[in-house]
Formats: sequence, C-alpha cells, structure tokens
Amino acid sequence: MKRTTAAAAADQGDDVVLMYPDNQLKDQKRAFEQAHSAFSVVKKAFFDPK
Amino acid sequence: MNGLFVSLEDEDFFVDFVGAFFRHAPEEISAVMRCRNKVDMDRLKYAFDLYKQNIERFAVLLKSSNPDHYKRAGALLQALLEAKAVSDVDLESNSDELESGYTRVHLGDAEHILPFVKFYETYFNEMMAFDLAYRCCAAYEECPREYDFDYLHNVCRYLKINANLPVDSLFMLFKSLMQ
Repeated sequence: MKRTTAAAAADQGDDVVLMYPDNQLKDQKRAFEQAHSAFSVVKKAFFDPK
Repeated sequence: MNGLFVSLEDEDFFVDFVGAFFRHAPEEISAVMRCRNKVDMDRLKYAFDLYKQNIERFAVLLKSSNPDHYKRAGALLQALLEAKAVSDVDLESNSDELESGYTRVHLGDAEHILPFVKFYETYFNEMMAFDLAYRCCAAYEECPREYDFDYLHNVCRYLKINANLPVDSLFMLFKSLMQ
C-alpha cells in the first residue's frame, strides 16, 4: 500500500518533496570488528590513567 | 558485496549475530566480578521484525528501494532500543553494594570499577545498541568518524530519556556523525 502511495507521488512529480534523495547501500569497506568500539571509549574514559 | 547489512535481513543471522554481540559483557567489570548481559531471545526476534519494518519503510521512499548504511544503522538502532533486547545485567555486586563495601570484591577493585558500573547499570541497553549500530555503519565508511566519551554519554542519555524516537532522527544521528 505504501509503495503504491509513494509510486503515485513520484508519478505526480512530488518525489522531490516526499521521497528521500536517492541513494543505495554501497559495498562494505571493512570488517565490523575493525570499527571503533564503545568499550574502547569507556575504557579510555574510566580506566586509562590520565 | 553489500555485506553485513544485507546479512542482517536474514532472521537467523540477525538473532545469532546480535545475540552474540549483546552477550559480550565489558571485560573491565567481568575481570573483577561476575557480569552477564541477559539477552531475551523473544525480544531479539521482535527487534528483527522491527528492523525489517524500518528498512521496508525507508525502501518505499527511495527510488533504489535499497536504503544506505545511515538509514540501515538508524533502523537497527531504533529496533534494538524499542525491543530492549538486553533485558538486564546480572552483576555479582551492584553499584550500591560496591559503594557500601557490602561485597566480596576487593575495596581497591570496587573503587576502580564503580564509576563505570554506575554508567553501565544506567545505560547498558543504549550503549550496546548504539555500539552495534555505529560499528555496522562504520564498516561501510571510507573514513569513519570516531567519537569520544562525552559524545557517547550524551547519546546514551538522549536515547534513554527520549523514548520512542522516530527512526528518521536516528538515521540523521549517524549521517550527521559520519559526514
């Protein structure tokens, strides 16, 4: 139902207002494990000597 | 290779991956005393349903029907927060016990971990959910922007105090942070 509504809006030229700017999921760049971790942030804040 | 976010659209992968991530308790506490995150499987499955709904909601408003990693990270964070998949933290001694000395934990260790235990008791769900969604998002960035404790604390408080945040505001949180 929502797809129909959105598609209809696009047909009427309202897509700039109603739709998101078009983009899509790109390829993953690195492993999840390599990303900055909240635990490293709290470790630095609470446990590493200043 | 659309990677992790595509894999998360499979319920079995979602439940295994998110469940394993959420069961990982902070080593700074678990090195001193028992600390287990309780993960509710029904809530994990509920989180998956919410995640899929959020993705589909974005998809109908995109010509590509394939939301980017900022929208997916927002969708994931909203689902995890609403489902509260980490239902509780099982601590051998809570912050009141550590503070009063009513614990088997050595006084020096108790004083050392107390500030973080208080933070974690308050924000475990928000912190774990944001950590997971941020790291999924960062995996798709050329140069992911990192954050400090001040930012994390503000985010956790914002997420805790403001229940039922719309998925759009969480999508914008990641897009604003990374760009």
